[in-house]
Amino acid sequence: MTERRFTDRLARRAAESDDLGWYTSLLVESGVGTTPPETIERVIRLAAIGLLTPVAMAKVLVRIPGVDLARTVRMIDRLGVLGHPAREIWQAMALCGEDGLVRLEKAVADEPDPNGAGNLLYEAAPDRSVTALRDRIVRNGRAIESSDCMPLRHFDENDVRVLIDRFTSRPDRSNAQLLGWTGHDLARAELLDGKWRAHPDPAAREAVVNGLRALCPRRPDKDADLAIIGFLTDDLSPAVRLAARTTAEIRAHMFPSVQVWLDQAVSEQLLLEDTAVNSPVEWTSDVVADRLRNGGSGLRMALELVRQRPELLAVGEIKDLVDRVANETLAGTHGIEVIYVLHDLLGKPFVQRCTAALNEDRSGVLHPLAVSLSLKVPGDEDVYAAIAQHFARFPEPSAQPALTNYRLPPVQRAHHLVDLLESLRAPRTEAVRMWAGALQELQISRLDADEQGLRRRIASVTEHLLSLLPERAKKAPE
Amino acid sequence: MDDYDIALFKQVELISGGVPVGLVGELHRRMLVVLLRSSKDEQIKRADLVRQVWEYTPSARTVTSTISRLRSALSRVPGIGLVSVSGKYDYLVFDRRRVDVHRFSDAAEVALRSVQDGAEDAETLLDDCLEQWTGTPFGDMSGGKIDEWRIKLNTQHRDVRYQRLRLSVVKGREHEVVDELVELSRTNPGHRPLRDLAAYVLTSVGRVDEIAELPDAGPWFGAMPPVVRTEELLTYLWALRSALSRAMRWHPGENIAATFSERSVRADSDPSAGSSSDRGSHRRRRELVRGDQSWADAVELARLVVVLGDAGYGKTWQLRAHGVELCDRAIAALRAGADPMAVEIPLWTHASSLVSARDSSDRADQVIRAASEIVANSPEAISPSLRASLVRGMTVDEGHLHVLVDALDELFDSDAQDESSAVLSWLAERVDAGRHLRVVVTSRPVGYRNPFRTRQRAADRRQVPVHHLSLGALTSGQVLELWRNWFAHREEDFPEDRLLPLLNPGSPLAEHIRVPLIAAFCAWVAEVVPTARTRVGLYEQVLRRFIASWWKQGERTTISSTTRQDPLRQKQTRHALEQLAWHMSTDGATWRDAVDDEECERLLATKLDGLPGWTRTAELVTIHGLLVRLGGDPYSSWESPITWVHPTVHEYLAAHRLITLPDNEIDHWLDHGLHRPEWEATFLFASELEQLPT
Repeated sequence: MTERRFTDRLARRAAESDDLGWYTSLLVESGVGTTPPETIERVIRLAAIGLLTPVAMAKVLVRIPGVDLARTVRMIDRLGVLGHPAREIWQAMALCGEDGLVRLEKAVADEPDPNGAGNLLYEAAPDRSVTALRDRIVRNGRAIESSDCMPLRHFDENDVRVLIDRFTSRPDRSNAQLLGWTGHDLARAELLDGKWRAHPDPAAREAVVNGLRALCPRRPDKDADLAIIGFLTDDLSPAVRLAARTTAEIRAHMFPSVQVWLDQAVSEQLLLEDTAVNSPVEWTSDVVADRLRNGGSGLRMALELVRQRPELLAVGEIKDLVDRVANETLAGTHGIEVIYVLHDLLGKPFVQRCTAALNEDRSGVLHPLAVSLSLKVPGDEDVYAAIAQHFARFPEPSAQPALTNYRLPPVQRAHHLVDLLESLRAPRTEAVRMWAGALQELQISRLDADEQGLRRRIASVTEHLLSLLPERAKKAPE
Repeated sequence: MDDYDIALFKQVELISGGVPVGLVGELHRRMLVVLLRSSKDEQIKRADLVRQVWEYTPSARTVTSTISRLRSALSRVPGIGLVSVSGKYDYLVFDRRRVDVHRFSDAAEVALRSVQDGAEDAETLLDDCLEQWTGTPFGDMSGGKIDEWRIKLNTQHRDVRYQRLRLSVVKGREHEVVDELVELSRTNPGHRPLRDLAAYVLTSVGRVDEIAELPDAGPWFGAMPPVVRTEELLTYLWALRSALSRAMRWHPGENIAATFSERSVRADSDPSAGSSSDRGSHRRRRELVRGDQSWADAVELARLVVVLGDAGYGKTWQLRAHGVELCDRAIAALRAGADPMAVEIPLWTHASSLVSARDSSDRADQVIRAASEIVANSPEAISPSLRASLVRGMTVDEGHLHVLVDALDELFDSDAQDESSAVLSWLAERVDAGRHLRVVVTSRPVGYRNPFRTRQRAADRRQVPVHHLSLGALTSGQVLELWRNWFAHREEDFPEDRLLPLLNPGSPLAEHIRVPLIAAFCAWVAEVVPTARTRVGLYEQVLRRFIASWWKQGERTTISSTTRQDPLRQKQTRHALEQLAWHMSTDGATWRDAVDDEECERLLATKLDGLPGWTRTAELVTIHGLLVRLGGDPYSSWESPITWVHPTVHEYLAAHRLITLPDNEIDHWLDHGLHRPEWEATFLFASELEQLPT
């Protein structure tokens, strides 16, 4: 055997001053042979606290000679309970051989949203995934989302006829999508049938738009795309036109050909002139007040007008109405665009109220507020702390970029995130994933100032986090 | 009976059932023209109508009575009617096809579009349209809207004539059209394309003296012919096709088609958008990209495309194949008699060539000069007149040019990046302004910045969107196809036992080999030995194969077989490369992907003796091919930086050095490499190397 000095140094680093699990994960990834038991134990602990993904843990465990895969599956399930996202749990399951596949089948059957379990099963065992999805959808009448749609491409004519009947009797979004995802000729003919264009119920027409999109999620489809664009240009209902416009624009972004068809069919002018969707009005102060009072699509424009003509704030009613909108915003009623204009209008006091609201939010409705503040109020430590806390309580995909790209010096951001991790007194997997993830995204190695100090803190916070775990999570599998 | 005809050429006349319908007077004729100018059923404000018809301010009574008399005259003609709405608006109900100038206009639009689209019947359509033109529209009638309409019609007429004459010139009938062309140019002194075409034709028929008598239409394009000759274009396309098809030396077959298979791509958002730093984007780990739509679908109609892919993903491969495909399509169309101005003409350039051509007279010239470089070996490929036509085409959006720019990421200094961004932004502005120009750029995602970011937005039109397409890794099926083709072209049996196990799901290389270059490495190694089943094993084999390979040498010197097979020399080469790799990884604040000639030579010299007639760098670039010169062509751009055939080779060699270091130095690099993708890859190699049995 050759000397293993490098591997030994790496193992030592992983054990003694790991950096949020980075050295351990490297050690694990490089392991061609057997991973030493102490490393395995550490990997399990790192995954339990939220510093390693379930997939990384699964990779290590399945390599142990003679491993009990049923037990590994249970351990991965436990990570789901601790707060790792379902999608990653299923990815880890997919590595666990037959036991993992059985678990995926069970997820497809039982979970309210299988969250990708169906597609993962499809990659490993296509026939079994089709059976599982057929049971769920055709036999039991349950729905799925797009993350599990791949097996539907293999539904047979009988399955598709059932879905057509179901869609015809209840033409809603979910049934339309199920039909579309089959990609079957019959489904296609049904969704492209002219009768749906003339259907009296706008909700049914909107559902058809969703079904058409589902028909061909991975490439441009001239018939389906032109049909969607047809809804955009011709439908009488603003809601349907808006849905078609959103769908067509998303597809145009994905597929350049669709962009060209869209441009050919719809001049930009037409989109701007679609009054029902864009609601241009003559903005008298009465109209402004009216829009502020009644909300809806004109609200943002009304606020924008107040911003451009601040003298309107002197009108008592308008001032009160703007305050009311601000209060509604702090209760999570309005979206990013409204928050932007309010920030311009009301300045620092509004920011302070937002920060307080984020800190007090217990229902998780203030994501738009957190994202808006991260972009609109750069360089403020209190704001950053509030955003970081909020996203740790209520994680969601927009959070990481908000934390990573916030305009505060990176070193300051990094110390701040370490502060947050240090402040934990009990395991909180979601919070650790969020903060440690943002910290790693900052590319700690590239922060020149105070690097060593930061490194030491990160190494010690890694140990602090592991110390929060109860004893039983520390045990390695037999 | 519903048959009427409205004549507006020469004089204004309404004919119903073959008989002229008496219009009361000049005012009625004017009113009819103004109403006909609007599209069918379009309401005109009464006040506007009055302004257009009367040259003075008439009394309200005069207006009402004139309108009502016209209405009554028209009421005798079935199918046409004048409607007034509350005395404030008026509109005419009529059939556009029964108005001669509308018929002309519609025919002109169809004919001009057919020219743009390169339709086979374009000439016939132009002729049919010209037949409809029977005199000056509206006779001697004048005034606001009427004059405006006449100008529009005259312009259409001129454009149709111009295109008709141009097509005649393309077909070699200069002698037949020269006089008409000169006359048309003289009567349209501001029209530059006409003037240029006339000058060109006068030159070709030997009446050069007359050029001076043509109107001076703004900046003179000199010898820029506004037509492209089929033969000239075919010569260029063949030369470009052959240059683009050239395969890498270690690949089988003469042609990239031998080992190329159509790729899939994934539409992504601009990776440099939203990043607050100016350094561009970074990615923490190399993840395999899964494409979800075919290349052909994605680029079919797109006009501004950035193709993103890590090293080894085959960006250049894909761009070249795309260029070859465009050449083939154009050649087939030209042979079928298509108008050269209507076929898509590929222009291929390396981003660094765009920068080197910075001293050109203008941006269009710069692009064409850069695009000429790839066919520089066949000097006759781009004739001066074709070259001038291409410059012109790019400037005035004539013809269908398709600019392919490779390796934006191979520009390292910020001046070069700014220059390429400036020229690409200019191109994007041309794309926005015109209808045909298209641009495809390739880059690695690391450090990518949108090259079109400095383009100016034109007030009156929307910007053409930039589509970012990430090139997908190969599917296992494509890997297998590549391997089978590889051996088919070598005329050898496919060594199943050497390659197929690599594709097994449990193989440590299963994911890795889906990167096209790595897949090709595997095939190349399998030509001589069973391919190793681990990553480090494979890299060792690849490295040895490169070092032992001696490609066709230049004429300057030949190298004896004793030297070539000298194991000591091979060992020296290996050490020199390791030295270079380690230096590039560690001798600076950050990991470097490329070095200049001088530095490269200096580092190699510490371990490797030079061969007579060769620099060490040239030996490794030209003879072994382990190092490559950025800029693509190993023979031409002598001064461009040197990099590795693939960054993983660099990482593998650095790992070799790393495992020999003392503990404290290993600790130092473990610290330094934290969260750096290149170091992470090096650490993985290092650890795997240590696990190899001796």
